[in-house]
Amino acid sequence: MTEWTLSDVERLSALTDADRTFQMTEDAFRVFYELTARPVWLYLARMTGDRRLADDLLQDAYYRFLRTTTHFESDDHRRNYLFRIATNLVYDQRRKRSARVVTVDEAESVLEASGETADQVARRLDVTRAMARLKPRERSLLWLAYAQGASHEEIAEILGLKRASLKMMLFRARRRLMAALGTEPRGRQR
Amino acid sequence: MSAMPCAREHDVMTLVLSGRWPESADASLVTHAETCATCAEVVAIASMLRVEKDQLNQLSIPAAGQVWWRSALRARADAARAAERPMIWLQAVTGAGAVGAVLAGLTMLWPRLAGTVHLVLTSNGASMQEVLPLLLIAGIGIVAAPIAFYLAVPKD
Repeated sequence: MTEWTLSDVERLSALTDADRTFQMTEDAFRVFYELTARPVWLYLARMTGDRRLADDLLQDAYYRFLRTTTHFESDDHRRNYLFRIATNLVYDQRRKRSARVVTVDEAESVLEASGETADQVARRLDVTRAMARLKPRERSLLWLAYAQGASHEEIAEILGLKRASLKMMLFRARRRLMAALGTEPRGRQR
Repeated sequence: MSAMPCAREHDVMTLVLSGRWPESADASLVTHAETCATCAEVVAIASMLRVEKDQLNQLSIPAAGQVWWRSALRARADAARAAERPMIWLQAVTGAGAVGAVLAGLTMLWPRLAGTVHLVLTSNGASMQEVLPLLLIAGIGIVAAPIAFYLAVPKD
């Protein structure tokens, strides 16, 4: 016979409450999570430069998502809403911590278990440092556009920007990243 | 150079993101990317970020079940806090009302009390200055005793 403890009962009780409190059931959540968690976590890890912080913010993002009363028109809308929560959490976190540059130790902590070669580590640190020099919004733009392959409509919805200004912002972000990497933009070569 | 995206930027990016650049790309597209500043930048940045994404993809992320039950526990704690908030306000208002009522009562009864105390003192030969500290301590005790009792008794 299973021996229950008070903490088990409290946990089960909380889970029962959760089905009433949250906007989706546990089964629906699991499916949604499998579809969205990895890209959201990648985004958070890249934006914060800290995998543990990315874990915490991922938890926070899904909690806020589950508590929302927003009506979603489509899966894309739901997914973009989650990314928007994640973006706001990153910006809030940055405000709390005040502006700072990602250190080498922090950058290494992001990928400590990935078994990279020395060249890969050096290359990644170059990218990490270059990205750290950009404004948070520029980092978001570049990651969403060129790592996640998000469309302009999706990026505008996630970041709360006007679609018309997105092209120019992306262009500037690209230029700033190339400059931070020490790569002369071709457009300036005559 | 124009800030407008190149018409072939999307094709280039799709191939880079899927890891098929330049092997699966049309020769004309590769040539175009070499000469088009926008596409060259897109190739450089998307390739770089793709490598990083692949590396980050090797790391594990929290499991769905773990995120769910943590959210459930947090929702419960938030609900408990939200339920306590009106009670705290109610207790504060009740406390303030009680203190006000005691003070009002003392103010109203003070002339009669002072007369009684004076009578007792004169019959025992003690002065008002000697007994005042004792009266103050007794008054504070009367007010503080219910508060201390409330704080000492467990709420559950």
